[in-house]
Amino acid sequence: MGRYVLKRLGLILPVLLGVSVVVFLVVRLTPGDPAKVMAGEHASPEFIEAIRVKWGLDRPLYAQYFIWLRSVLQGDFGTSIATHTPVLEELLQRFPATLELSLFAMTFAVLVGMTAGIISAVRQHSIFDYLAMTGALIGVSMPIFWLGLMLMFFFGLYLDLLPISGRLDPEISLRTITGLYLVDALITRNGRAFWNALSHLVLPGVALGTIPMALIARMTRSSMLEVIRQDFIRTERAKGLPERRVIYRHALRNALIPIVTVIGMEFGLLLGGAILTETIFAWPGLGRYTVDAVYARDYPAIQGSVLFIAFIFVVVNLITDILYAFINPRIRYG
Amino acid sequence: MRLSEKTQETLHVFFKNKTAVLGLCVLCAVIFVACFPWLLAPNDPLKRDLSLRYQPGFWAGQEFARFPLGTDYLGRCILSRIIWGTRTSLLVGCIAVFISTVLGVILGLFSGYLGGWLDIALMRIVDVLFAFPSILLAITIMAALGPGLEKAMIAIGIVYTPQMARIVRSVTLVLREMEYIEAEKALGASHARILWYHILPNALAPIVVYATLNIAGAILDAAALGFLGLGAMPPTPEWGAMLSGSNKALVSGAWWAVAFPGVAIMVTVLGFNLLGDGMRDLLDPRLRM
Amino acid sequence: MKNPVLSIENLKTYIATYRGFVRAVDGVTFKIREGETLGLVGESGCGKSMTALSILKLYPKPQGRIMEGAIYLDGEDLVLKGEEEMQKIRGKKISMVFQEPMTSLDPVFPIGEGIMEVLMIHQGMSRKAAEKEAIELLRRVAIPDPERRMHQYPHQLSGGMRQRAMIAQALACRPRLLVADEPTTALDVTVQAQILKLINDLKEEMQTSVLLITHDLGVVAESCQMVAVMYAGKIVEKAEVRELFAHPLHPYTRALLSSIPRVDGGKGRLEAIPGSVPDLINPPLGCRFHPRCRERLSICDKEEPTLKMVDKEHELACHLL
Repeated sequence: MGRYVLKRLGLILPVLLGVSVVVFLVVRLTPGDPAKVMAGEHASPEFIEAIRVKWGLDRPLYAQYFIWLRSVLQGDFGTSIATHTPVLEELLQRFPATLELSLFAMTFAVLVGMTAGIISAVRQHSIFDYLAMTGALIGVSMPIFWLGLMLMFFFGLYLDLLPISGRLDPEISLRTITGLYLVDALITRNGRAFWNALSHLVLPGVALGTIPMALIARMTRSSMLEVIRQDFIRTERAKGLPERRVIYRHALRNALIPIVTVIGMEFGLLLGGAILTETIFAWPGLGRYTVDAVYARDYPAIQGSVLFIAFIFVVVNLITDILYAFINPRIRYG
Repeated sequence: MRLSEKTQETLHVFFKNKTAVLGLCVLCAVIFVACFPWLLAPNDPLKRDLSLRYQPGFWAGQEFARFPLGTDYLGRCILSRIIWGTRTSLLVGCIAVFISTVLGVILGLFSGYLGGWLDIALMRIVDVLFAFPSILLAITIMAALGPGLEKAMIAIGIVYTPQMARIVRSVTLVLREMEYIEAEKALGASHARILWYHILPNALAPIVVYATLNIAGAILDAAALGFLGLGAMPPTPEWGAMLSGSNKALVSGAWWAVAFPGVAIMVTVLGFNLLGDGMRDLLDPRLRM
Repeated sequence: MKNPVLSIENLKTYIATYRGFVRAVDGVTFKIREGETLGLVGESGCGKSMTALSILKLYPKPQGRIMEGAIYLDGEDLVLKGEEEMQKIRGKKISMVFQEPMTSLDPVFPIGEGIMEVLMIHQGMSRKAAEKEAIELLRRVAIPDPERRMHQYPHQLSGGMRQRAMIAQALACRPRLLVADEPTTALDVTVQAQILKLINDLKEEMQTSVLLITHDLGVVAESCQMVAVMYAGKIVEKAEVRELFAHPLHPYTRALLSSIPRVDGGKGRLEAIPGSVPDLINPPLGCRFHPRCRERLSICDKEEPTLKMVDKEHELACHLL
């Protein structure tokens, strides 16, 4: 298994490199003087020149790339045109918000989706099965931002049950250590902050997690059905094991293997969806930062955040691959 | 028109599959709306009337029947905008997927058939493109190209190309090894001929299924871009764009400005998903390549 | 005569399909005594596997149903028992091993765990006790280095070892009856002999009876005391092994025997049985074998022959005698 992990690590390096090339090229391909693009439309001529020198914009393209890459590896993602702060700093500050939202959404998606999928598979062709799968199909067909808006309207404005913007009400104070408000509230035993932060997480989290949940439900169902058909399930029943054990201990463990891969892929969907959800719910995370940057034509910020998000995505996929190798004995024990 | 036995049989099985048929019906309705908007729309989709902003629709009473689904923040008829927006969304979805399918098929065929360093290089590029969540990639491309519907089509087309390329490549890899290809080569058939007459027709099944499912995704992505203001430019009615900036609408209580365009998106995407799923079930044994 | 361990009387298991009921098992009767191995022979599709599954009530549900008949295990009728009661019997009083050991073992479970599961659930053993017993069982089925092997996964073992592991699993609780559905068909010839011998040895050691299902008459000759020949869901002949091979009476039995190449000579042609297996939804009227039978009489397509005792321990269902 160690070899497998090393192999996967080796594979992602060229991918990360390729990602950096794409990010670099996209911005450089924008029409107009790249120095102006990077410095901002309202920058002074001296500033534009300084940018031109710093990023070597009068040098050939490949040289520019290496200058840029070297800076990135040293932690310099450039400076945001809008806020004049180093981009990396802004990204790291917003990262925990997106992480917390994504984890919440993913947990919701996995718990609800897998449960629904298992029940659907075990009670195939029942009413639950048809309803669940229809629901899942509808879930996959709706635009995530629309779902967010409808949830916001219904629960937030109409029923006034849950908050619809931000992570915490302004009057609540919380000492942040990790940046994950739920965790911080637990660590500092701040009960009020915990529940407040949780209430803020619900609407965007459910909106974000619904589509992955629907996909996971469908995938779990088909994987379980596939596994239950296998010969060894018959053997387990022939051993006189209670049906519950057959399903949960034997069938599910086998069905999980392909599901884990799907969950990893879902994370990409999640990150993309976070961009939209954060915009709607005024969630101060990476997604919203990216969108704001695009509106403001803040190219250093766009570059930095796209690179950052893609990097996270690649890392998550790597973790998924490793997890997969871990739970599949055929790979773990060659 | 006499269809071959095989086609007849395929159609017979297809129509037995209820999901596929349902999807087809939904899509026919949608296409109808897209083709004849002037027949169906009660009002001019572009006409503004600020005195009629955020009017509710027929549920609020007879006097609101003129704008059956209400009006938006500029007093425009939502139903008419939805109807006229149908062709926009369908066009964007279909053209984007068309681009990605053509590109993907070409890349996949060459990559799978010729193999070697071309294959490795192309698949590395595909891996890199896959390293981006699709909306992010679309936004990034749009950041470089600038806003606009045509640019959105290109961006989304690029986003969906890698998936199609991978699928076509894996099918090609399997087909390449089949014996009748060897036989053809022995008869002196050129590579081009083999690709066009033998490999491509057999790869058609998964291509069609995934293209259909991709249209669903493309429409969603196009709507997302529209929502972010990166797609259709105002005042063009486009479903996603109709939802942008709608926080204000909700705060004013005008939920209809948000609900109905979204339902339109959902129904159309559902139609494509149903059709695609149905086709996939139909071709399933053959998809297990 | 000792009381039989298993006694099946007029068992009928039908499977519902769109085209009608498949009469997979259509009136099967036989007994297995203590310490005895009964071979159930027939071509594919004759219903022998379904008979085996019916004993443990593992036929596909809800399509499959036992329509009629009784299955007595030590005097108790299994047909009347509910699912929960059956779960207490499976793996404990009656066990089953299957044909394909690779696909019949859970790929994510170490083989030791599979055995321990049975011990812990049916005999309430603690984990530690079960572990010790599992190692002993693996040793008994001649798997070398059992302490290490028990932590291995099925894909890490050879075909023969997997089958041994399955047998260990099945015999862990010393069941009264072991149902073996083509246990050696998927194995190499040399390994086949080993497995059959293993089953035999364990049978004697644990006083277990065996229902051995196979299409291979050679296997029957080697391991069984009694044999029942099945065709199209019915038993056509039943006898002691030597008797059957010496005096096969049913045309089908004779055809089966003559289609085996014999080492001891006879340069006669190998006979294939003409025709194909009948449709079990609408089986032929009268004797089910009559369309393929050379010695067909005029009565054979009108009246179904019933199983009658023609000699000591030799039963036959045919109009010819």
